Amino acid sequence: MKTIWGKPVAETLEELTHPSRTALLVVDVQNDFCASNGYYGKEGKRLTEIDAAIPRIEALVAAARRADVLVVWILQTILPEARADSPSWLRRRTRGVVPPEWTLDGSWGQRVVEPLAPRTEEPVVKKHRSSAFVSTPLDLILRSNEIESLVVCGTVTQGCVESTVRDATFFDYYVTLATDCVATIDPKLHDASLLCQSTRCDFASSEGIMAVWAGARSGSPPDVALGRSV
Amino acid sequence: MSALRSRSALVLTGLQRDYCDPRGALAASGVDVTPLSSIVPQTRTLLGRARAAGATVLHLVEATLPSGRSDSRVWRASKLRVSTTARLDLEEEIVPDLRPEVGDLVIERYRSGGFVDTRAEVLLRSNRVGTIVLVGVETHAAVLATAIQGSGLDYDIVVAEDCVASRDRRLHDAALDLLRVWARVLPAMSCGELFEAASERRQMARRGS
Repeated sequence: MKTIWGKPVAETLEELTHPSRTALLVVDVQNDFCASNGYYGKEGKRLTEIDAAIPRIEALVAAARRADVLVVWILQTILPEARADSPSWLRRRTRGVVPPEWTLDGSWGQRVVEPLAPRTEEPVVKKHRSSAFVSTPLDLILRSNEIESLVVCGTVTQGCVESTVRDATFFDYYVTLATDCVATIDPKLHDASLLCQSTRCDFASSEGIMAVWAGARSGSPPDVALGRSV
Repeated sequence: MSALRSRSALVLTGLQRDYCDPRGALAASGVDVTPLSSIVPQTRTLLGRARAAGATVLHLVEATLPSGRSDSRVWRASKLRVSTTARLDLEEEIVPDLRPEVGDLVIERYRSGGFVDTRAEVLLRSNRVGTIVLVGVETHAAVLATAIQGSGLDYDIVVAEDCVASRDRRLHDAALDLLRVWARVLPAMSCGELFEAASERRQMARRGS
């Protein structure tokens, strides 16, 4: 813990990811982006890195549950007849003549990709833009559970992950990116995005984060846990 | 008015079983919910006129996430909080006479104000809505909170006075006085005409262009 202008500021990975004050955000790991027969898969996009990340995300989610870390699932969501799209957002989303009908509300493509699955008590937040903080209940849910730190994983790196990470820092959460648990369809964009994100948030491997969660005595609040380190 | 925000929306709040149904959560806490359910028939009429005129319809359904994940300490202690059930199907929670139709927008809210961390703004913006006609329960709680927030976000707020209600007449009257600070308070009949006039303006603009 550092003190800056009289304010306690988290410093180590243990402080940044303490289970009692941390939530794991799982961003957009949905069939349309991750499954071979989803939207990206059918479009022939490269799913190599996404396929490789899913088992690591699965392990991270399991570790979070064991340590009583709140798991929050984020779902990109399109409404029928573009009811959640503004003219400018339609321009952004439209590559051809019609905007892609991915993650349509209630569809199979919107659902979380197997074997991942939200549990009943885990909040699922639908969003209509890239950032999970734009016009959603995410901040309310985090506040209500006294969360101050986020571990972020999911897809796609340069899109919804990066937008959510950036906004999370503006909403005053500490952010740690689980770098081996984020992926996209283009390795060049992935690398470029990680370079930019490295200026905004902390990076850690899922292994490192899971080690903290396995070692932390859950229940001891971070201010107490943090008090002994300098 | 900006063409980007030229549309109108009917926003319904709290018109759900847990508030209006005699078997719902509010009634179970000993409150007589007759004043709340009594506005449903005229609200249904206004809803029909809004849909017929092509207005955006947005249903705000109060909800609580499983395990109380959406409850803060403050909200749990609030006198306004009703123990709404964590229903997964929001449409099932809406009172049957106001059941959403294809094209209606249905979203959850976890506090009184319809703009507190909800999808309301992105949806209203996406549908170019500048004017909100507000109906529902309760006048002194969700209706007043949503009107003040919406006004602060630069929406033109209209309250349909015969389509809002509180459990207690004094609270309702006091809240209507306060609503006149932030909103135009009009009979439902005039609100229906407002939707129809907007629809006619759109048709004329289409013919003119």
